[in-house]
Amino acid sequence: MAARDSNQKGFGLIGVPLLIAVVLALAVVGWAVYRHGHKNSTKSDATSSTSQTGAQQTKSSTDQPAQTAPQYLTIKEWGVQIPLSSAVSDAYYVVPTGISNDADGKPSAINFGLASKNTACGTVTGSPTDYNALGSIVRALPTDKDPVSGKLYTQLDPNGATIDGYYYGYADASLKSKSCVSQTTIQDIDAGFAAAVKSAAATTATAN
Amino acid sequence: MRPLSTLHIQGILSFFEMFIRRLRTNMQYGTIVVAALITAFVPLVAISGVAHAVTDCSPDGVEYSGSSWLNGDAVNVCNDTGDGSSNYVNNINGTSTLSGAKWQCVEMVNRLYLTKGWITSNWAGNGGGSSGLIYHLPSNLTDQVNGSISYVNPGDTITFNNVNDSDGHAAIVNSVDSNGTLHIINQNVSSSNVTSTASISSGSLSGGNATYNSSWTGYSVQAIVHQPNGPFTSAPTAFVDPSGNYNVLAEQFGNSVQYERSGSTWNGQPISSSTTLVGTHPPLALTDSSGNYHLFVATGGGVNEYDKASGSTSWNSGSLVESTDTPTSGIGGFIASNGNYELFFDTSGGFEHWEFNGSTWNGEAKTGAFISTPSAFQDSSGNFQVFLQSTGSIDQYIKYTSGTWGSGAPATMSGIISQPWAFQDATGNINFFFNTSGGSDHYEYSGGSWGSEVALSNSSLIYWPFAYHITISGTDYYVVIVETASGITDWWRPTSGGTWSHETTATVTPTSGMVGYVDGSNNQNMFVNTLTTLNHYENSGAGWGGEQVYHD
Repeated sequence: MAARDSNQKGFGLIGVPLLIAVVLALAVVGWAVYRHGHKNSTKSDATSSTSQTGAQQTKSSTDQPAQTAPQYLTIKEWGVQIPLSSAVSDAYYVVPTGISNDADGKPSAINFGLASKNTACGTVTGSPTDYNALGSIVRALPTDKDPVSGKLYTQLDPNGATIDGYYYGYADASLKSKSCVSQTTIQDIDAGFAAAVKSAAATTATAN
Repeated sequence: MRPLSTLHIQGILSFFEMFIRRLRTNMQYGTIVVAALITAFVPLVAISGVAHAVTDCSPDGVEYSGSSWLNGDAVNVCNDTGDGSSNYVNNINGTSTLSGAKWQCVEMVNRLYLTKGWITSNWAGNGGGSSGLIYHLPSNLTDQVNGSISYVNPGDTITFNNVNDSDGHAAIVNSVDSNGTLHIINQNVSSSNVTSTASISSGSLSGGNATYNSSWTGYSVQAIVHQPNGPFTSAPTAFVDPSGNYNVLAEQFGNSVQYERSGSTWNGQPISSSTTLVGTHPPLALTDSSGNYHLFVATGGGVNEYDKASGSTSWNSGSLVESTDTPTSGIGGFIASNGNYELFFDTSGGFEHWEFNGSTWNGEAKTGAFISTPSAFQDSSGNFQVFLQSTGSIDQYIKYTSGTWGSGAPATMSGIISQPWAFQDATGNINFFFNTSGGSDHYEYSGGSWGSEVALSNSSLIYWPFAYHITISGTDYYVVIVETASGITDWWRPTSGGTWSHETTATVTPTSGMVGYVDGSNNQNMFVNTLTTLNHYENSGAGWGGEQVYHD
């Protein structure tokens, strides 16, 4: 009996650490699973953020849920990218023919198009007689003024961001005159591009 | 498990917080967009049927003087104070015409073109964009879209698209650098931006595919609209017809154009040519005793003749004088006393003489190395006098009535910089003038020998002198008119002797040599090109007056 008791006691002494070990093991495995899943999620975000560059490229909004993985449009001439909400997720850009260059030789503006609106509003080509743009970005020094209005570009196009000394402002003049889509859609596009340009950042600052 | 659950819950909450924040932001922008759409569009050009007197920047003042651009022959750039009322100017027919709203960019374009006679009615449209000037072109204007530009001239209109304004912008090209860079004059801009530039970023004008880049942030060059005249590509040639009408002709972008003044109005008429004209060689225009007009043009394949019969309203399609040799100069000549047409021009092997005897053209050549358009006339003895510039001399050739030729080199010197201009004076003496590096020299054949003098000293003379004699109140005078880059001056002295006097003929920048004549009323007439105009100057004894020769 004593031995059985002992065994019973002995079993009891072994059982406690084993339980602790199992709990710890489960905790470690659970933490590891959590960390693994978190890392995969972060990596997916980074991949989608660099998946869209250059003019005339389009991107499906179903690649990653917009709620958790915003897409980016990279403007390679400037080394700048902007996040795209669902309203402008298929945005592309062109450099207009004959546009001025800034002091560093980079174009002073680009025009936006939306692939899903090409049929209704026409493809944005950037040619001198292309009036299909659905918005633009002006690139200027923060002290630069429009020659005609005399206004600072930071005032003329207040939705913008300053990156490496240049102000990037969203210009909506081309979008405002459009009748190829509903006014509601125009408002959505306008808001989408405005928010996007306000969140513009240097490409190198966000790429992993 | 607890930490894991906490992270997930925080993440979900964070996402919803961000979503709500973005939703608020979108609603805010949506409101702004709606408000902007309600107030966005204001018509650029208000059109009124009410005519007003011609105003010149009134009441807002001049921002940049018209005398400061297009060689001093432009219109004022007006201060844009937001006036916005309609402005009217007289077109070349004297009709008060809307130039636009004070003082929009397109108003200045209209005012310049109306004043120049390049348009006669309002040219509607915004500066650029989808409702821009290029979509409302007057029938006599042509445009080239950016990327397909082959030439640009002063006075051309340049249009822009603007990412900040779908109405765009328009301005005028003031000058063109040798590398194609455009210097532009703008109205309706801040004062520091009245002048701007555009430069070629790709392609070339010669290739017909030049692309111009704007110099303004957010502005892109849309197109160039060419003014109809452009600079003339040759010096003019002029005559008075038997009815007393003044005529002047010149080459212009591969065609010759005739302008004729009846009363006080000049009317222009193009003379189409299917042949390649030799760019800058002066043509020769003559009128015969019946009032028929004849134009002789140096081409890449010989010499062409175009005719306009007296009373006709059109020129014929042209005929060939000769196709054997290519002229290397303009054409000199006259209608001889027997009615024959006598033409003289230089070629690579010498100068040639072609004569039309009423039925056929016959030619002959005189070998030599000449470098100028011949100056030729028939003297009072019936001999043909021909003077040409060669290296280091002014050469004289005489074709006597016997048919034989004589020659000489009355002026031999270094520093000759122009062709001669020769004539016979009232006493029968043969005279010629030519420019040198130090001024203008005069040679006169009198008493069996040549004498010479320096008529005037000026080291800045350009092109050639235009010289003649004229008798005023019983006194015969030599007159020589010379050009510099800043103006034209005439000099005179009695043919019997004395000192030279001078006065300013015009303060323009000439872009060609001169031609002219003394008309039947003893008025002195001279024609010359500027960068954008063909000008006529006349002196009826009370000084020189000037006018522009337009076509409508």
